[in-house]
Amino acid sequence: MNLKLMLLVVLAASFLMLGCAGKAKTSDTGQAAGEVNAPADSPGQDEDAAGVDAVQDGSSDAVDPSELADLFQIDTDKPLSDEGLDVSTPSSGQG
Amino acid sequence: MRYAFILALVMLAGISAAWANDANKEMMDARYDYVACDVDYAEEWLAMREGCGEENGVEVFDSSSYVDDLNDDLEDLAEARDENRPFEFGLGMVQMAADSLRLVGRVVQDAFDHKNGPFFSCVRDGETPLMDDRDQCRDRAMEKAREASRHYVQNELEYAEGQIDDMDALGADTSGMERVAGDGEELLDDLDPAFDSGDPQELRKLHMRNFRLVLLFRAEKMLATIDYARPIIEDSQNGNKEEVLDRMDSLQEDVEDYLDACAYSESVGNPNEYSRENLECWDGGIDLFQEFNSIRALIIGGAFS
Repeated sequence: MNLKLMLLVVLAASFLMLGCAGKAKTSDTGQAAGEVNAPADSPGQDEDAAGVDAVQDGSSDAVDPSELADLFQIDTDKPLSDEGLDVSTPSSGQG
Repeated sequence: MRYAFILALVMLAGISAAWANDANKEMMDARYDYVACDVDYAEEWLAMREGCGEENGVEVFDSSSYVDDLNDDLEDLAEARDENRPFEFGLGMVQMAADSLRLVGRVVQDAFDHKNGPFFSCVRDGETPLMDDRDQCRDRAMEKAREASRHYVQNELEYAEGQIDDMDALGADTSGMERVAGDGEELLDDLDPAFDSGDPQELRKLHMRNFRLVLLFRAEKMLATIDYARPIIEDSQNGNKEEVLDRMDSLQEDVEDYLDACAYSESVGNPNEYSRENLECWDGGIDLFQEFNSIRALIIGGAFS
């Protein structure tokens, strides 16, 4: 990859990262805005929802792949484990 | 240039804001308080025991290095708590458990080293008030843990409801997600009785049930997403849609098997068995989660091929 191409890649990535930083602002409940692209003002009638209308009217060209792809994100952190609170403590039973 | 753009998108594939429970720090704080009660008790008990040794002409082992280790562990826990790092806090708890067990082992060993009856009587009498203090300290920590746990589960449920609403707004089938969230509501109802029992095993069971439910909710969300996305992908012009569909079909099968294998039961039965199953469900689950997330890059890549 030549220097010019690398520069273009870095520039493209920088622009997109700036865009994502604004888009992925976390709400109070921790839900990343844009993780699921449902307009808040039209629940249940999401005309922009990824491909719904495209499937209904057969206009598959209207599918926004990045919106659909964004649905494929799931948390991968380990849930709080079941480690107990107990710490061994000495007692006269042990001496 | 097209490939450079795809590359840039793939580079961004890993960028997403992971959700963190706001009550994590509160949970760690309650756990810290509880453990600090035990460390304080151990330190005072060892000093009392040394006093009994002097009174009765008996030599006892030098416990200062053990106490130092426990206090170092406490400092590590405090640091992880203050910096809100649950993973490091968990590691600190493991270290604390190991060091406290090492201390108990040393005490047992020392008990067989030329001790006499009056010495043991002295230790028995001396520990009663120390145990009372420790129990009061633990009770205060447990009340803190009760509130922290309530907030923790409430936050989890709020987060789950948000995801259900979002998927529902798209028209996806959220029945599986809703079923798991319903089990989570029941878990919240069981919280007070478990704390009221004062039995650490009952609290452990709550943790284990919560652990399982979080994994199952993620699995149900994956199924709902795949089910929703399939017709869209089928109708799309994505260059690699056959590959995407194959991966989705395979993942769906695996997730359905996973849901059967890790089926939830609010009755824990044998806690150790349930815990072992949880670990297996975690090991199996993380592979599925990673496969699910990898489909995102695949779809984006196919859009430009």
